[in-house]
Amino acid sequence: MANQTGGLTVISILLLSWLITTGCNETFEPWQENDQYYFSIYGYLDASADTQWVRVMPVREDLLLEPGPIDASVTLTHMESGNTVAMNDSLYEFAHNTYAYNFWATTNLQPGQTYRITAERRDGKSSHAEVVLPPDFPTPTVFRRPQSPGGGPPLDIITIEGVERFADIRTIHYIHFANSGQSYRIPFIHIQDTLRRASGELTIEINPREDTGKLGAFLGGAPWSVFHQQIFIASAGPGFHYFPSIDEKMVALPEGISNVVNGVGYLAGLVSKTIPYESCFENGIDIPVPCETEPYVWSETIPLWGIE
Amino acid sequence: MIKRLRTIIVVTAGLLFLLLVSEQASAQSATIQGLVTDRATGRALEGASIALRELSDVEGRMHGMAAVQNGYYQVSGLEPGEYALRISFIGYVAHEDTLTLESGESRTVSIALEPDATQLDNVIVSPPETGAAGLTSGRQRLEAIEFGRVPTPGGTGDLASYLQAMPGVVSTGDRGGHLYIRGGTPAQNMVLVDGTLIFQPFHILGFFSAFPENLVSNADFYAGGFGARYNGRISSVIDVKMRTGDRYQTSGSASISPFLAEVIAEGPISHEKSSWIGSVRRSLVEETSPLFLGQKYPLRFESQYLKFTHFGESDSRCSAMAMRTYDRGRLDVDQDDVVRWNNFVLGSQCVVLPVGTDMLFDINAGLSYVSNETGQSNNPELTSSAMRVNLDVNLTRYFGLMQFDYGVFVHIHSLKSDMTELIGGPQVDSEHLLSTGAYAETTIPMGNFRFTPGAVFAYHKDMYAPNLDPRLLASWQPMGREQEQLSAALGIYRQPLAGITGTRDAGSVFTAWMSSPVSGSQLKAVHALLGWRQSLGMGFQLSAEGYRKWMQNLPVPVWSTLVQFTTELASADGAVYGGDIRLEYNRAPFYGFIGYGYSHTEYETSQEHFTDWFGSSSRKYHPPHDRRHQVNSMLSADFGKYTAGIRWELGSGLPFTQPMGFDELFSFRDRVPLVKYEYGTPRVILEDLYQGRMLTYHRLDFSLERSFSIPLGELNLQVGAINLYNQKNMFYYDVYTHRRVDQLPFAPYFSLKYETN
Repeated sequence: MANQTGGLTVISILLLSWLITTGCNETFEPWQENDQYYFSIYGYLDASADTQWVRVMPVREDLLLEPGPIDASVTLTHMESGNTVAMNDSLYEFAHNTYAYNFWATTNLQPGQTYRITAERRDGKSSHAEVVLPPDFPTPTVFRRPQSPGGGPPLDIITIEGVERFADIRTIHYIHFANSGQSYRIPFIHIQDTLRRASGELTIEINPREDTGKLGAFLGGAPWSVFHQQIFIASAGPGFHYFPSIDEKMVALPEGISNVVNGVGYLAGLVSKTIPYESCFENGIDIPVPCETEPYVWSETIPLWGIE
Repeated sequence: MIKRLRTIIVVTAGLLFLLLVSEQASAQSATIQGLVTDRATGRALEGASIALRELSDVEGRMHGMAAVQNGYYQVSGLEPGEYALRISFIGYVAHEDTLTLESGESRTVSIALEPDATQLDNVIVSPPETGAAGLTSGRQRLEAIEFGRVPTPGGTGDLASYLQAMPGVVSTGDRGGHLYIRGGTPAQNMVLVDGTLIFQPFHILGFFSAFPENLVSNADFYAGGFGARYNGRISSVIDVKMRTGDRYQTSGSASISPFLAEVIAEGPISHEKSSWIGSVRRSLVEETSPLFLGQKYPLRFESQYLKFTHFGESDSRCSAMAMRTYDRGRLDVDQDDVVRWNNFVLGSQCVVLPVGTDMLFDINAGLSYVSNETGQSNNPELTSSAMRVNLDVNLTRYFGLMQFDYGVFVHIHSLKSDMTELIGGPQVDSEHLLSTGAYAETTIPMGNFRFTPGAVFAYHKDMYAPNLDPRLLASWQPMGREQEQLSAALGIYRQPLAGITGTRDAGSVFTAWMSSPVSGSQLKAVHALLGWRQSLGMGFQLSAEGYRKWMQNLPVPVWSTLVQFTTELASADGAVYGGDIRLEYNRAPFYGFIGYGYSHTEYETSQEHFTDWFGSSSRKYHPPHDRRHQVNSMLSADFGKYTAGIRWELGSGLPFTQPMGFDELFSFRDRVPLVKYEYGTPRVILEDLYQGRMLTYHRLDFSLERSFSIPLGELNLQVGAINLYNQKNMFYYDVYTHRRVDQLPFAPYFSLKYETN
């Protein structure tokens, strides 16, 4: 009798528990409600460029964006005048079937002025980022010395004046492969080679043999030649963060380093100079002078290969 | 440092003094000692009753005790004279004899008891302190025969399935082989096979382990509060004793089910003197799953095991054992990432009662190796291996009624890992760690109280400061009988190695072993337990136990929002509290239990960027194994040749971090991004850590088996089903890819098992 009672008790408990739980099926909702971040805005506005490109993407529930119309109207506003320009969307495809929207507008921006990028959804939710462009600065000079003082290796010295904050300094090497006949442009970053003199001017010292060595390692054994070289220098406006001193984990936080309101991302304001990577001299004088600036992208037909 | 060393010296000297005193005091009286074992298998019968009645005393004064670990007993302080000796154990024919002891004599009487066929037919043999409710100070004695009561889709029971039916043991799913015990992580559990460590013994298909019912003799499962003999882990101990082969006759069994095929054989090498037992197991689910689960589950495991045992004088025995396991599979069948691990264990153990001494030697030497890898099938991104060589010498002796256990150990670890993709911070590719030390503990009965104070001292060459960790177990039987007992445990535990898991998802099982990677200090925990066990009569037994653990120096990932961002490690402190309550019913033909476990696990970690995230550098969160509520139940019934089993379990949802959305991050670190040419780094936007909970988990398993007697043996047919009502239980949610991975659906199975007579 006791045996049956014990067994029935356990059976009853099991049955009751089962009925309770099977009657309460839940649905899984992984998402935390997002009423904070509508758009992700990244990129920069450059007073030296005739076309402005920025990445604007919805903060979305899928890891990858499905190609299709984007619910965003993006405008570029000159805050001092109130003039607003609508930016055009352009869907870009990247490796592994990934897609992203870049917005562009052909307009001239003025150094020292304030601009705002606004992205707005059809339901009126919007994100925006505002930047102040830095003042213009004199074209830098390049002095390619065959030897450093004291008989060392060759040393190229780029002298820059009138820049408070650097966002970018890179050399761009245009490469031609003899066998395939193809050309590429390969940039190398040199912001770490910057020195600020007591006088306030900035100098960048580059050992060109190091760049050549890196190119050789990067390009491998096929015969190639450099047919042009440029230097790109970008000055950033007030409020631009000094990123090398900021922990990457903080940069990755939604609001760690961001100037996007109701969104995530970072927008920089720049004035840039693109100059030939060569020394220019006035006639008969052995003192380098600024060369004429060139378009940043020397030729859109030459694809970019590698970013360091 | 000097103060600590002084303390160590004083304590060590005190212990030595106690041992010397005991040597002097025992010189005049007589002593009887021995080992109590099963005649056929040589299995140690811990808990066997030893009773000595003084025949010269008119009142027949009684002396007695229960055999302890290894079936060892020792009754000392006996007056010279004639005694009636009776040694008995449930399910065995009692041994009775008359002895005459001389002054100062130390007599060894080892007894191999014969199983009692009449008892075995009528009762379920359950030695004291076994069963689901047999919980004392966190310790539970698991008899292999109990494993089969839990429906397991392999034809035989398994330690893994049985453990997961216990409150306080959290499995994150039916894949991965990771068990979290009372808030501790898998890498904080110590699993011993005949005294030698095995790193990852639980198979990738969570029902199975390297410990099937037919190979295991029994196991001591300490969910916390373990004694000084065990050191090097901070959460739990599963001390598995494997069976020895039958030393009188050859026999074997073979079984097959859609999940598993297994062959076991055993027999004598030299009649009565030595035996062997071996097994080969291999999973079949990869091949059969398209048929009975509707899709292919690429999960595979296998294991091989061989053990030789030699029996010497007084049933002293030495054994040598080799075990290999292999696991490979994709936990998410839709992803390409494969995880693999191998264990290889070589172990030897001697349990010896040397002639002329009154102490038991339990000597263990072993080697354990594990390798781990994960990533693309032919191109693993993360690899790790660990090897441990150990020599442990354990001695047991008595001084009056006081039992002394003490010993020394040497453990050498060799660790290798390549976690380039996982850890961005400092990492060591290869390191070696030598640990040596000693422990001592004594069990002191005082009326209805029993105290077991102890301490372990460990020295780690060139790695950590020496440590001396005290521990205390205590029990009180207020009525002076076993039916009701209050027990408690308190102790400090340390772990020189840390097991680093792959990601923050519960679904990741890759583990890399390294010395404590962040704080430079060992992982540390303090355990406090208090429990009550009560026999209710009519086959019912109740136990309830509360616990609290404080943990320090736990390595946890540094939090980031980048998908597949290289992850650094940070140090966390943890606090766990909870309780288990279990009601067990054990009266033929039924066996059943229902248990409820509550657990609250919280980690606190300080990470610099938290200040910008949350406004404070410190953050408390519930780690992904914090299962708050758990109900486990099972019922089995024997009706003649039929045995039915049903198991139902429920667990509240495990924590996960809820995403708010995805975007692509651009760095301005050393240049401005070119959005026309770069895609960016995928990022998940998170609000806070582990604020979400996955769905409640519940599952019903069922089995029905029947035995058929056939010529030369017995055939056992089992039918059953896992997840009988096809509940869609979550395995894990990958916050970085926004993917939900579910556990197995309804899985019917049948198994055939043939056993020779």
